[in-house]
Amino acid sequence: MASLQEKTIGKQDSDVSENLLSVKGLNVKFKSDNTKVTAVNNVSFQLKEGETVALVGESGSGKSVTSLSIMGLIPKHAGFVDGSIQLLGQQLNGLPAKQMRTIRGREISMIFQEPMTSLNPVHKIGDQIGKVIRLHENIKKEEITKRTIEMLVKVGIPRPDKIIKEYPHQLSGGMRQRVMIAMAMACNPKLLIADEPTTALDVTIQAQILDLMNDLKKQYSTTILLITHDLGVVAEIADRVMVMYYGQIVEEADVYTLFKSPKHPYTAGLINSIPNLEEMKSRLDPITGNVPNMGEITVGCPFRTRCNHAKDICSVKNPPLFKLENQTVRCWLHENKEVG
Amino acid sequence: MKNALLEVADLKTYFPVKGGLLKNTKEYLKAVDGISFTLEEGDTLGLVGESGCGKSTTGRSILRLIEPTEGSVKYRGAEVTSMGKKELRKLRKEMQIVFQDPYASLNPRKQVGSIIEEALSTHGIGRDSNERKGMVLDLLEKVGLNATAYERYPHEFSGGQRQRIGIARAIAVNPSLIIADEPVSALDVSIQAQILNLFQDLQDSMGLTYIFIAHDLSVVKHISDKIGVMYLGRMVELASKDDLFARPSHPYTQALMSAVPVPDPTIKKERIILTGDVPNPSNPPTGCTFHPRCRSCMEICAEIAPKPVEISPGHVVSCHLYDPEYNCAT
Repeated sequence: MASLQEKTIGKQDSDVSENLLSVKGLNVKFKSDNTKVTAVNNVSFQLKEGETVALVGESGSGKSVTSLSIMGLIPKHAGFVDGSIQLLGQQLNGLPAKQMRTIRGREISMIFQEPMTSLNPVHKIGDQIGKVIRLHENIKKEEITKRTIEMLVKVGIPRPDKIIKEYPHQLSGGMRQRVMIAMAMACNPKLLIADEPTTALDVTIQAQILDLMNDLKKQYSTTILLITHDLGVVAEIADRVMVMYYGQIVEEADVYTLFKSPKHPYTAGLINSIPNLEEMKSRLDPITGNVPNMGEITVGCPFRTRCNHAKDICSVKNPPLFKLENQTVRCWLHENKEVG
Repeated sequence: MKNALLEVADLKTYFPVKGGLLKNTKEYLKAVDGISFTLEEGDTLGLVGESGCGKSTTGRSILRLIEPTEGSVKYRGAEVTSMGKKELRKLRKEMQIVFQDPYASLNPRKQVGSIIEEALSTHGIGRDSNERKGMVLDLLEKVGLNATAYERYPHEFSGGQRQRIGIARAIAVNPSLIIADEPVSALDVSIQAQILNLFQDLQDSMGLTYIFIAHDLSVVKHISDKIGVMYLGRMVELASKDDLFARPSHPYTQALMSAVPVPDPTIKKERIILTGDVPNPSNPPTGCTFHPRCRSCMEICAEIAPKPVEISPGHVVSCHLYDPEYNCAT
């Protein structure tokens, strides 16, 4: 940790705690016609070393934009990223592109939803994984090949010595996702961001990949930020959960508390609206209405239009995060239940 | 006893795979390879399976949107596979389809009103455009859309609302059977529940019969009375919902059920992790197509394809484990 801080140039005030990643007041805006649309609105959170945190939300909630900002992958001409993102005390936001490249792939890496579009179709598997190692570590060619094969073995790819000479289209979806994971883990990153890693996969293959991620987590104690809309996957793999709605974190809790006593009406609505294999409901209990478009709601709580508990104050003032005993929640219903 | 609305027997749909210099048909891809089931009026049959198992092709072959190669499909006793164009057109009024992607299945250049009205005028429903407009407005209300939707275009709607438009178009001609092909898989969870409820409401009010195709076992369980589990073009297990979940019998069904993540962190279920991937359907394994991934695989499984065995009334499994001829162990 100390060595990393020494070599950083863009270092600013460092976070003293044991947090691996600390995001404070993250705002992301995009240009749309002549206005700016807020995609992520004042998001703050910390990731501790070794934990798996799920960022849950529906399409357009800003979960992927949050992860792309951490990676520094929001194009400058399109989006405005504001706020502080610190990895082990090193400020990432505003870092020159060249330095960011030394962090991406080595300190933080990312797995995307669609492995077919995120692998290069004209390069061999082995070359693509090898490139990650070559970029970050100064080792010989034979060593790189050896490491590549090792990584493929670790993610459970059969006949890795043959696979390194194959192209992405020759592999199935599950295999491609394994290759993506091998590539992301090749330099043993401190933080792995997995953006909907199993959404494009069939359930039996999803089970394999979740199993693999759980194994790798134990083996390397990698911190994982899991972006997903699937509460089943969350329950399976996460230690802690953050729920996003309309660009904001509306609830945060450990996984047991969140599923047992969700406090935000949106979280409760999400949990109630999914059919569950273990219990039988004759009718689902959906959240009414639709997710509002970005920029549509400017005052008050953005969820109020779909909320059964909306009060007068909800249409006037957006609630802050209230800290309860085991969770934080952004809802006026819990205003008077705050602790500390 | 309810009437059988649809009887499907040994339905096969093969696609020719062309290759070589002269583009001759080299082999056939057996997308659907001998599917049989009966569907009673007012019931919902769920077809579940992973990508490439042939569940969508089954749905389309029943409608003859894809011509089946062999087998019989009887709708109210009438053979669908041998119908001529005229009869088929009449039948389309009875059987409708709702597609997965509401973005791709609605004409972007047409107003919602005229998209739905087209279904009416094609089948000669309604005396004039005025009457049809009234009917369309009723339909919009039925599926939970505002009357202002009539003059708007598909791109002005969210995914869930577009799916409502697709459903309105399907029920416009007052069909008996709706084949819904992954109708909720492109939708967010909170919207998915709204659409599932809409399907149930319409079934109650219009007495509809559904074939509900989905890859999500929890969704299929929620909406179906009867469930067929498909693997590589074959139906490996068919049973009533209660029977299937009380006694999942085919090793694939068991693995599929155990693979579904449960949204409850306190439940840690024992996982059956299948090794390997779904094989290429153009070159399926010999014998039982599931045998390379099966944990109960026997010698016979690689040689002979299992026949369907009825293990209890209405519960059919295609697996040698349940065939007394081959399995001496049980």
